[in-house]
Amino acid sequence: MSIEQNKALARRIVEAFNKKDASTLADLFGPDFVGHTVGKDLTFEEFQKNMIALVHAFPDYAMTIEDLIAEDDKFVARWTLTGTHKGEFMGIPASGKRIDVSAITIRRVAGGKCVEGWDIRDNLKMMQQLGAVPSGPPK
Amino acid sequence: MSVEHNKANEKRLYDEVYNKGNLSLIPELVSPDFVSGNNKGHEGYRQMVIAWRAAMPDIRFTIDEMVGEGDKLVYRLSGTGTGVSSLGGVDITGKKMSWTQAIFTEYKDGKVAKGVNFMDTLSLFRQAGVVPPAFAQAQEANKALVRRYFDEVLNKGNAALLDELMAEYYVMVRANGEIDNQGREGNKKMFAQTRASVPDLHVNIDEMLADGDKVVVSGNWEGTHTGLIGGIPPTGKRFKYGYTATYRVVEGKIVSGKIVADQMSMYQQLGVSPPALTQNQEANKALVRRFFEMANHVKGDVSRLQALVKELIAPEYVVHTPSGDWTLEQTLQMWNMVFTAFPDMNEKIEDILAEGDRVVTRSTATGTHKGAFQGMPPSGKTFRMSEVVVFRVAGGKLVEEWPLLDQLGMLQQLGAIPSVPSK
Repeated sequence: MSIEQNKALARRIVEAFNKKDASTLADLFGPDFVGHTVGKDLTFEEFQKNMIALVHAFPDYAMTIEDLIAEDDKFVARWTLTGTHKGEFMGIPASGKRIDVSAITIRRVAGGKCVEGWDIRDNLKMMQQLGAVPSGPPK
Repeated sequence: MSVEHNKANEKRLYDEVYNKGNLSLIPELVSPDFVSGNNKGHEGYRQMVIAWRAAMPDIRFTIDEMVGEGDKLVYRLSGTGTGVSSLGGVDITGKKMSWTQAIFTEYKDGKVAKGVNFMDTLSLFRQAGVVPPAFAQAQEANKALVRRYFDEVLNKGNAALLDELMAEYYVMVRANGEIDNQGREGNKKMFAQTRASVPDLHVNIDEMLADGDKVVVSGNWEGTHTGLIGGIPPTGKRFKYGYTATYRVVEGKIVSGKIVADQMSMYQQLGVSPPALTQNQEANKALVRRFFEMANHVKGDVSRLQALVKELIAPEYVVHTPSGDWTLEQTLQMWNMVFTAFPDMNEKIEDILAEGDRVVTRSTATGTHKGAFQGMPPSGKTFRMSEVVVFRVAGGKLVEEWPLLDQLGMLQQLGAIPSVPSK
């Protein structure tokens, strides 16, 4: 796979996320995918559950790629996540508030599919936008 | 008089007058009111013919194509001849010449009364092996321009002069044919970086040649390796290596430069291995690794932070944080605060990758909360935070950064925010 093919894969993933097309998504990830999120490693099944929870909480969920960088077997997507909080999320009941947060994802690609990933999302800002954590420095 | 008459008249002028030197036919074929440039009347015409025949006695004109309408006649003319003296001030002695012309004429009373000549004079000069005077002047001006670029900009560091000497859309062609089109501003930055890395840089000119709009220069670059070169930290060693550069000058500005330099011998003199094939990306990664290395070494020491900024960071640095863009000054304030709050702050690179001008790091930051941080008194607690940062590199310095840190996790570990979000 060339770096351009890996970038194309990144774009297909975002497209599938935005269309909530779970079957296409499942096709773009290898069955042995491991997602290294902050604190723990997720299997593809757990990763999918998180995605479903996110779509449930933010039905108008949309990802926008801001930058796409690739080298060897990895790509990095810097993206923005927007949505309206219409369902329970991480214990926070629906608030109707908008989120607009940054995230960076690194994916390792093998055989045309994502097999490993590292994600960081600006959860602090997200919690602040949802009103779960006070904005500005804690006093 | 008919167009056919005029055509036959014009053909006789070449067959008889120019090609055979039968000047006595001029009053029969040329109007006494004849005008062509400064040549007027029968005598003017005679002088034109004499000038051509004196330069090339075996001159032979052939009319290739002729179109007439009313009293106008237009034709294409080919000429050949062997030079025996000079033509238009240019010595063509011994040269076999050939050229084409287009001539517009007007007839009056069956005789040619006006002529306008278009010819490829430059090709005549080229065949004569001489450079026309105007071109020679331009070539000298181009050389002087390139010499100023070397003396003032490269050797004395007057980067502002680039506005005068270099076109905005300057294109640099590397030895491998790769094109660097960052323009004049990109060149200024690259140049500033070069001077920062090699403050005693001297580029001498052994030889300089100009041909048309090109100036070719060769000589040596020399200096002391005082800052990062190709991602290699300073060795303090001196180097000297040869270069040849071809510049193109258009309307008094350098528009492109192709530089071939023996950088391999520079790396040998510095006693280091040259960067690999993916030179820029690897150099960019090295720059970012050095950034982490130097940042880990700061330990709350402001002078070390200043050294880091001087070596690695461009003045126009911007950090795109989730809460807005920070200038270099704002970033420094934040770093100072972080380094004071967490004097043992350490960042470990877990993964690094690069493409084009971007470098991405995935890292883990650890530290102990020993000073005030965002209004929180020191707690003595430690944190471990995941980070992913996208950097942009230009001119050998960091110019832009998009960091994403797990700040929520960090604040939770410091006890500033409950670990489970409120219900």
